[in-house]
Amino acid sequence: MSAEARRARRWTRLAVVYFVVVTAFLVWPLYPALGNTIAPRVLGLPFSLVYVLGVIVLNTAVLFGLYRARVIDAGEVEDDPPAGEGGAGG
Amino acid sequence: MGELLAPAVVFGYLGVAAVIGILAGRRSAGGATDFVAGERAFGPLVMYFVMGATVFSAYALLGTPQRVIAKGSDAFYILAYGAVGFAPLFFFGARVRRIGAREGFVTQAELIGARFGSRRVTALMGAATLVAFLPYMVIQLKGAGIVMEAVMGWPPLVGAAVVYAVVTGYVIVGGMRGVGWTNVVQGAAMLVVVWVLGLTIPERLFGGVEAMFDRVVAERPEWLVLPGPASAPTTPFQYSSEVLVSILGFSMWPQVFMKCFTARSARLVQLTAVVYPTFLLFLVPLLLLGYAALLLPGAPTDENVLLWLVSRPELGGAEGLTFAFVSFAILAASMSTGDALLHGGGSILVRDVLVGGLGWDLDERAQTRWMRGTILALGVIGLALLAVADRISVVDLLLLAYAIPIQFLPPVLAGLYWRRANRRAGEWGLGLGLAAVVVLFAASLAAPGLYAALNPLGLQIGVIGVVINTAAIVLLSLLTPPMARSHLDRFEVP
Repeated sequence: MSAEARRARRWTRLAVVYFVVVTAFLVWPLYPALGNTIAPRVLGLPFSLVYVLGVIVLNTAVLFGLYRARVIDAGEVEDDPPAGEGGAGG
Repeated sequence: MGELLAPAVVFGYLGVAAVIGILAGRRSAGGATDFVAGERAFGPLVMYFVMGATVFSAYALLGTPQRVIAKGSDAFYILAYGAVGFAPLFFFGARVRRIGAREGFVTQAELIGARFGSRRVTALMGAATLVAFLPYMVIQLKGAGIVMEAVMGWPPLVGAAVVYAVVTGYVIVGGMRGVGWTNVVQGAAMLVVVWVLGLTIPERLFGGVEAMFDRVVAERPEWLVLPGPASAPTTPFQYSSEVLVSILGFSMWPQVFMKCFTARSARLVQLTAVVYPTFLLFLVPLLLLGYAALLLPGAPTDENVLLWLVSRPELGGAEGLTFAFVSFAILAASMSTGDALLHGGGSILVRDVLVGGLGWDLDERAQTRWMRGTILALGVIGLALLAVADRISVVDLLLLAYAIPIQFLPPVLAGLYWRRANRRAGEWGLGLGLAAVVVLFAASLAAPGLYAALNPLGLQIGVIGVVINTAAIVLLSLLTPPMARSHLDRFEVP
């Protein structure tokens, strides 16, 4: 296995561990202990909602980083058509 | 405008959806692979809306505000599971796309059945999927019926039949391309309408989102945290099990998984998982609308609450623009999920059960004909179930529907990532998991005493199935010889 493949494999494992840990923050006992309160409110929203939205933003950032770094399926070729056609679409 | 506004918007939209779906289908080459997977040609924009619009159904639009008003912050569970639910797709989606393109698979059951070298696995997955689809189909039809009743005053069954005549039409003519291009329109419309209303309605009724929540904190604080209102409490433990079960099952829903095969490239599948949360944020305004209704006297606590809210006189009443656009958004949500279920159901019955499972020898054109017939039949069965929905509980059927996709998780993960997993393990694992689900479901309806004895902790029945399923796959794979190396190499990516 090449050094690059080993590196990709390590990152893939780390990413999986990250998603397991972050899932734990969304359920019992961590969510009731850390997120299930009204205050502090952010932009008027209760903290119980802001907490979950924060996890969504964090996960999106992590997935985007993994996508840009091309560490999952590292051998993947860029078979998209040339840039400029549609972009992220969102 | 006045009283004709909502009907004009609704029928104008149905017309546009039909035209787009049918025109998109005319670009097709006519084969079954194109009908199922759109020749794997979807670019980023279409792919994004196909995923988002498929996942967000009439149930999300009607059910999210309803869940807020009935159960309080328990409604956040849909955001919590969505936060992680798409991540598995990021990890295996690109691999599935590449193996699918190389080996010619267009459905989940084809891929997994081939990996385990078993027609039984393909047929079992296909048949179980169809069972899981039906309650979802009924819910989409119900959503369409509710809108048409509110807008036209028609009986829900008639309204649902009219809307789904259009949907069935463009799915049959347009295939996956028809589904894709109509979803772009439906998804964009839903996003815009829901965000605009989610921000303007609290502003008009209470002077802003912050002011609205100030009142909720003062008057109904128990609706903002678990366990929620005393009338319908959710313990943190129940909430957690809802979130976990949904995370595990989410990427296994065949209509979601199948979309891995329709993307133009493997990278694009990953990109879809990355941008997916933007669709998730579309649920936030629906939560806001739920809290807005909570503060108003006399709000219903069933799925009519959203239409009740937007037909209030201070928002323009049932003749106003707000009501017309909400009706349109609900219809878009119903249709964009319903079309994917019809299309997926047709593809799965023909490719997985008839050709893959039972070994029927059908050429590509014959397969497409069979798929079209199946789509029509599914639409009719859905309407028939809606007609008797008063006597059979959709909630009961959903219990079964949720338990099924999770049973695909062990064979999919073992099939994709564990070379040791073999045919016997796949067949027994999936078979025992599904059998456990069916037995428990039947017991819960027919013999509650027996059910309580079999499931003393009151776990979700899918969880019990998945434990048996996983144990069988692991044990049998370790105890019996692995499959041939040359066979396993077909399912590797370099």
